Amino acid sequence: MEERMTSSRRKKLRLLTGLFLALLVGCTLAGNTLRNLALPRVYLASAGSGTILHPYEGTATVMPKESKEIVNPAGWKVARILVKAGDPVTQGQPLIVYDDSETREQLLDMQTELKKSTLSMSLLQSNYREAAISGDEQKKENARVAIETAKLDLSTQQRHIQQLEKDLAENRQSVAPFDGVVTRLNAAVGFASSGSPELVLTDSAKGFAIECQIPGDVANLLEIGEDLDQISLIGRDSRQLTGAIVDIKESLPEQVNSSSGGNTGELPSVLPHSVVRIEIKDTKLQGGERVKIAISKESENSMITVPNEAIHYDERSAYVFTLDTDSGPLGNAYRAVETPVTIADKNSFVAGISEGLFPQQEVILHSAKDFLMDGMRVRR
Amino acid sequence: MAHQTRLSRLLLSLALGAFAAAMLFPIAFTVLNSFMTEEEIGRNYDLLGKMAEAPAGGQAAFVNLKLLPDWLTIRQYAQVLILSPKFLRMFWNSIALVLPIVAGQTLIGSLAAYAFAKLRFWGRDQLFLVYVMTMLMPFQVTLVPNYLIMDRLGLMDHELAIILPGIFGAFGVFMMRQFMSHIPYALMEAAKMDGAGHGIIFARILLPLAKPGLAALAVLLFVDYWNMVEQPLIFLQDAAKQPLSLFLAQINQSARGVGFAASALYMAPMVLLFLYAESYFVEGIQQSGIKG
Repeated sequence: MEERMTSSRRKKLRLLTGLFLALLVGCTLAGNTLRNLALPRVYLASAGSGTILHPYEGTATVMPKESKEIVNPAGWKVARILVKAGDPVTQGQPLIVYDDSETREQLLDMQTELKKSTLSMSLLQSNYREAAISGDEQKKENARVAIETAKLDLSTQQRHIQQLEKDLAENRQSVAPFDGVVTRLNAAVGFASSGSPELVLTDSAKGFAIECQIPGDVANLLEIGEDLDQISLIGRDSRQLTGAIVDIKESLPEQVNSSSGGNTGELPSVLPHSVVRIEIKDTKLQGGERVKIAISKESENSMITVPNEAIHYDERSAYVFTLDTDSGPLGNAYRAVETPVTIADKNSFVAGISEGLFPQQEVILHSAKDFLMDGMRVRR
Repeated sequence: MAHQTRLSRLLLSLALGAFAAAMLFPIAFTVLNSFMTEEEIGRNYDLLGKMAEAPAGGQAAFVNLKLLPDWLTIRQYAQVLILSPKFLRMFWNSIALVLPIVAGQTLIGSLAAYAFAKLRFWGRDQLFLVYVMTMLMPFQVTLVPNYLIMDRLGLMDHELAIILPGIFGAFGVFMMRQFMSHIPYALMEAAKMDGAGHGIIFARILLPLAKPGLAALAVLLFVDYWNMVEQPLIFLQDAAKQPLSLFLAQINQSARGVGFAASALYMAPMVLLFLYAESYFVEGIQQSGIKG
């Protein structure tokens, strides 16, 4: 009887224990699922390998390699303009005719004065003769001095006249000093220039050049003497041009800061921008045309690449979050691991990693949560 | 005479009943309080530890020990079992630590006890004495050597740092030896006559007879290792590996309700095991002459 009671009690206890364990197992599994759902979801990308492409696209204005500014030589008003901007001119061709009427008036006045002085000279000479005849030494001396003074005046007037005649001859008009093209015309009829050049003439025989500011990473891969063929004219005549790099100058650091200012979240480019001068070989250019330049360079070495989005920076270094897998009895648990990396090269989209990752390693691109921390559990 | 006997029995029953009630009160208190809302628990026990500071005579200066909740809730259980993964993780950690220890020590203990109780060899009793002496030393005494050995073995922060010393504990050997020494030699000799070796004698004769002892040992070991605190605290630094016994210590003031629920669940395996093995347990304790 007692044995039967014990056995039925054991049966009940077994059932109770089973239920208790089943409850705990159920809660463990359900809790795990719920917890997994609460984990931040992460989006992954595999680290690739290859070279980093450094593209650059920009515009520039074609400038003549040599140009001359023609200034108003005498500051006279412009009487006539014989050319317009864009006109080709030959050496010696008149460009602007200036109004010389004022100077001509002056010349006439001076000539009249000279005539008057010549007439008064004969009067002074007759005075001298009379003084010599009268024997009055004082009068004679006075007359002699008057003649000498008048001679000096005469020579001054003659020099003035010569100068004015020379001015008239030289400054009446400006002429082209060489064969070229009028690129800018500031002169206006009826006005005298206020110091600025009235006309800019370019020497088409010397060729043209463009200058553009190129980011340091691209400029670093360029060489002086290198030919560039991705240059095209903007506008109706969109033909291809070829050019060669003649100079690469690094910009001053202040310019770099001002150009990359505002991007506080991004690491500023380590390399400063460079000003690259490209000589264009084309005879039909006139100067002033806008051109589009496209440069695409590849890094020399193949390296591991990850999207820039995956890279984070702190005060010490750059790092990416990789995924660590703990295999457990209830499925795999994933953990975000902060992995320091060394960035060897980067462009706007991807960064080349020289240390810290291996090819095909999965890195976290971004997560559903605002921030990730080292060791944080995540859901993939 | 009969009247006197009845009276003394009544008095004894009353005394034992009062004693049992005193023993059961904390358990009932824990279980019933685990169904209270956190607010109610706050209202009842906020003054715990502050009674001396409260103005004398003030009604609110006393902790309100309450058994029946105003409002029944299982929110604490939901918190412990579903919303927070910690309790269950630690529960399974405890199971993973305690079951190998119980199984291992029961096996090793009964094998060693067989040798100590039934085999005759030189220095047997002296060796047993030395073995039992390790049992007499508290854990704190062997802590440093244990720590150094585990460190040398590279088992720090590994479950084996607790399981291995547990399996080779002296208590199982001692208890089973006491139990087996009561089994008459005549049974073994009869088996020997029938051509049985030590393996068969142990497995077929002694083990079935020692079942109550094994059950008692298993219950005692389970309770002992289920409640261990120092070993995991010292050997397991990784919070993900720590057992349930450390959970209650980590509950803070604001989650007392969770503490009650966790305590109730914490007790459950031990209570179930004890109830299941009760008859064996009593018998085993009686026969081995050990008082738990």
